Amino acid sequence: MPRAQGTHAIVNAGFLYQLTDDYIVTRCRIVYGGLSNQFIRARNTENFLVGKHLFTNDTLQNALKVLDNELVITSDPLSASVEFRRKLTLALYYKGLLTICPEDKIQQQYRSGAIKVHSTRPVSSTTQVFKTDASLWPLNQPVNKVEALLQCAGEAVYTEDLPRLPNEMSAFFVLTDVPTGEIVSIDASKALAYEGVIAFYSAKHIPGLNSFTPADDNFGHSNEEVFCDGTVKYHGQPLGIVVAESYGAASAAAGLVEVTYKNVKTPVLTIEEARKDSSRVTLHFSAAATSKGDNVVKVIKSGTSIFTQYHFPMENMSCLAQPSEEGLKVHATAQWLDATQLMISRALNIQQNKVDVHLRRLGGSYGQKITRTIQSAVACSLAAFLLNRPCRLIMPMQVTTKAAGKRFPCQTEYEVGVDDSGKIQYMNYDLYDDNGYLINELIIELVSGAYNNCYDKSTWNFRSFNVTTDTHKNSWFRSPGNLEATYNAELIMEQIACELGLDPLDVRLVNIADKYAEIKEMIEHVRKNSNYDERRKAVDKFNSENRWLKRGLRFSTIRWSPIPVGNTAVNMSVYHGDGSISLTHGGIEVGQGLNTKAIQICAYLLNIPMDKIQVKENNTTIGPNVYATGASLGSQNVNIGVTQCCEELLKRLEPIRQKLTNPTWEELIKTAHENNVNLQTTGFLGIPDIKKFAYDIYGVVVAEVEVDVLTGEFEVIRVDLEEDVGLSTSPFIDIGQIEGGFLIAQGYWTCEEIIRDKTTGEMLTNRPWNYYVPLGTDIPQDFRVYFRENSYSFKELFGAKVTGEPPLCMAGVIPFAIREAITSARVNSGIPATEWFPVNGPYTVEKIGLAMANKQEDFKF
Amino acid sequence: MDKINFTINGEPFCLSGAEVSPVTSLNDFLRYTVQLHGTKAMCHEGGCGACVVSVTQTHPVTKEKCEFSVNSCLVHVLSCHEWDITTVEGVGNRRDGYHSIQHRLAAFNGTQCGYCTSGWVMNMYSLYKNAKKKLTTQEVENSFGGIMCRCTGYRPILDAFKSFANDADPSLKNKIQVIFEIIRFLANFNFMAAQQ
Repeated sequence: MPRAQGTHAIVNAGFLYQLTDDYIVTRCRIVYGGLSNQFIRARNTENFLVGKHLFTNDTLQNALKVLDNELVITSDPLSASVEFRRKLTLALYYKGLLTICPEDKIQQQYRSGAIKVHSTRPVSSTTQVFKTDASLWPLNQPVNKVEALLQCAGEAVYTEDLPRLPNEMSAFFVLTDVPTGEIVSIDASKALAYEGVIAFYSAKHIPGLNSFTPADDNFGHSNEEVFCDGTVKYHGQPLGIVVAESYGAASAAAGLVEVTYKNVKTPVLTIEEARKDSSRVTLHFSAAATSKGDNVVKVIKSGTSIFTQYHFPMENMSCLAQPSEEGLKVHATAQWLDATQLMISRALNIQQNKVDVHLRRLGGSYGQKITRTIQSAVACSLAAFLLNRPCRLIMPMQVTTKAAGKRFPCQTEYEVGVDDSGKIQYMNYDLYDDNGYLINELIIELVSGAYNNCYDKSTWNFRSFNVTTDTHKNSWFRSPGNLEATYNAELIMEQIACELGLDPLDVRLVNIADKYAEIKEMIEHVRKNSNYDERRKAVDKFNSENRWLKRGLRFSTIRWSPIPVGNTAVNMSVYHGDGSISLTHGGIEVGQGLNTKAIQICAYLLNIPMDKIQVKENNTTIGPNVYATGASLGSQNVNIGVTQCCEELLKRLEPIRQKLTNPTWEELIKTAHENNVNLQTTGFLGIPDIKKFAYDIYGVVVAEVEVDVLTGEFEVIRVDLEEDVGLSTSPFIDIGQIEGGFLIAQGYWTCEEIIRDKTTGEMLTNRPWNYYVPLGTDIPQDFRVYFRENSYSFKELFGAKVTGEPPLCMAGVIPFAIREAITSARVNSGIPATEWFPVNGPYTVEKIGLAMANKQEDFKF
Repeated sequence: MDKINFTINGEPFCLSGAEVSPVTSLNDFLRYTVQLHGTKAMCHEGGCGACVVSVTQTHPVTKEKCEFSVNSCLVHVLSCHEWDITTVEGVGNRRDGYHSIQHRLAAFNGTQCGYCTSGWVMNMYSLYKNAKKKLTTQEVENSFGGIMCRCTGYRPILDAFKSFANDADPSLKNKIQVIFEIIRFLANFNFMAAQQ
């Protein structure tokens, strides 16, 4: 199966044998699913087996030949390749026999083939290790997220939950269905004739700028069109919207809009293809080596490709726009309200102050809703504006996966010379990031400071290149830039270790830069806590004794440094009647717990209970000009703003406090109000304020996996992860960021595979039934998370460091551990352990299974 | 049968069919007719689990009451005849008090963005109510193959729910105690007194 549960099998099989006492087959039934509608029963194999001794190597080998010959497997772009399903079919036949064969007839080393790794999975266990300092109460305490109970009772409100308004319309995107070319004509007459349809709008109906991204931003410098302007950029590009009385009518009629195109060409979908055309490749950044070692014992020339990832928020992108007295009131699932307001005003040609954008919270985003959501917000606002009626636009997953950009695919090429300890003497290293059809948000800039991870880069010549392809414009996704930078640096260490036959941890240790040497202390800590040295021996022993189950045990070490992206504003209002407080801030609550941290800091500084403080919704009136919540910095920035608010308030209260004797908070506030003290304070911080707090974050992780050599399925047996979170403001929330972030990236490296039609570029993985995110039993069986001890950032940050993105960079350890398991199986198949094998993109069951290089003649009892 | 009768959180509904369209799912009915927005929806094809609600039905043959959970997006509202439907609002709320499933999930930090949360609560609620005998941790852990969570990494959700099993690790039960002590301490902590 592509993951441990909740999915259709790639190939499934059932076997029924009737045997005599001496194992001679008298009758049998062999059935398969997942191959083709022409092949379900293996009749030839059944006939062959009758009269044979089932458990001899001779019968087995001959049966495999008969089975192989009778298979009819049809190609299906959403299933595994014909080649892999063929191998799987034969392996399942063998595996089936191992499960029923008497143990004394199977050699010890082959018995592991009978085990099904998912169904023998034990109940998972977990540990979270952190220390708290009670004197900082309620800071540094594992308090509950302030919204948690509301969320558990369905009382927390999301954008789609806003009740339908009288006269509300529904809008639905119409997408291009060719990858490139020119639109000759759009005929919406059939759609408009559909019952309940009100209007169809395309680029020509936009009164102002046809763009949903601010071209005058620090990270973005291009306009991305809301609706296709005539030249098609990718398959699935929005070219207009159908507006109707109901969602059903709008979505049905969207399929009736007829578009004719000319000059349609085969799209360029990958970095590899794009690099053949120099106009698609531009140098972004280069850094030259400052030294070169002369002790080169080995030169490795290699590289890898990794692909894209769908954000998969549980809340779809949506927008409700309604005419208001001044212009438009917009509720949008936006992680960047300022840009949403700005781009609606630009598209509609109305002043920014005529557009009010509101948000209570997001139901997940992971970066998707920073800019991708603005496209739907502008389209929806256009309909509300032109028709002067409320309009709602909900983007179902089937539309979002096609229309909206995802994680940047990346390709690397490197030539590295190493000494016999694996220390890099020189390296020429190029990295390519796939922007999609347009270079806009400069995610590749985030690679520039991160490409060497925690390693000495003085011998590295590094260049990064922007690449364009005929695909959706890729965008922010939790730990953008850093993820590919860190993974690729780690992969290079793995390859050096593999080709020199060294322990990859030792190779890492000789390459760690002096500047980042403090990570070594964490490595030792994890090594000890995870019992690494003993488990290393145990894994080696396990692999030497088992042919069909293999284990891998690997480290990964990361350095992650925050990049300041933009400003934040905070407002604090204290009510005179009871001293309760309303906080509004420019941060977006996406589930990362920034409201809780803000309240903890406020309660700590003002010395009042947390339940005195309420965080209100965010909107563009109370939080104008605020940058997107992102880069893990949302919580940190809001906390600094809250601190400014509290300090200002305390300063104003001090003269009043002097006049009173031990006043309660309520008395103090009441008196201050009576004495005309302004009880509203504001905080603001811009990029220079954020830049003051530069620090590095380290992470060390060790993971053990067990892989089924016959099927390619695997289980993560244990993960020990230590992250440097500084002095955690809110340990439960930080643990949640670590565990959740790790699993998103585990999905990226394993089961999450995006599939496009190679000719049309159409996104085929567009629903939960064909795009597989990890589920509850895909998590590590034993997951232990530790906070680094005695770490402290700045007193202005109460010692904390950001936590949201570094854990994603650590999940590369899962494919590294899988590689070790595969290597051991390949050695059994006669391939040297030092022979590196490339695996591009996620380590899916198929890719693992194929990399095993199993030989049919090795299927034995 | 000229009327479809069912209840939602105890409130009776009687439909002739004309009130709804041929495509009105139970999810649509809950969210748009009854205005119960606690039940969410994402994929509308039974793949994500955000829309799960709990149903009690008398078995037509055995007459036994059985509890099960359904994807409300896959059920047409007119196929709910003689169902007693419970949504997350009916399990517990701020007016009537919260259910221990809700309390524990919150206490274990089992919510981040919260959009999948009611699906988890309802799936657990059905499992909990339908359990003929005490649940085991293995049963709990294997009962959520139809729900996705993109934020938490599942660990705190599974820990919270496994704490309802009779073979739960003592450390889990201990964790509940510690967490609730923190909550109580936080609620009763006299900040002004501490200052003085």
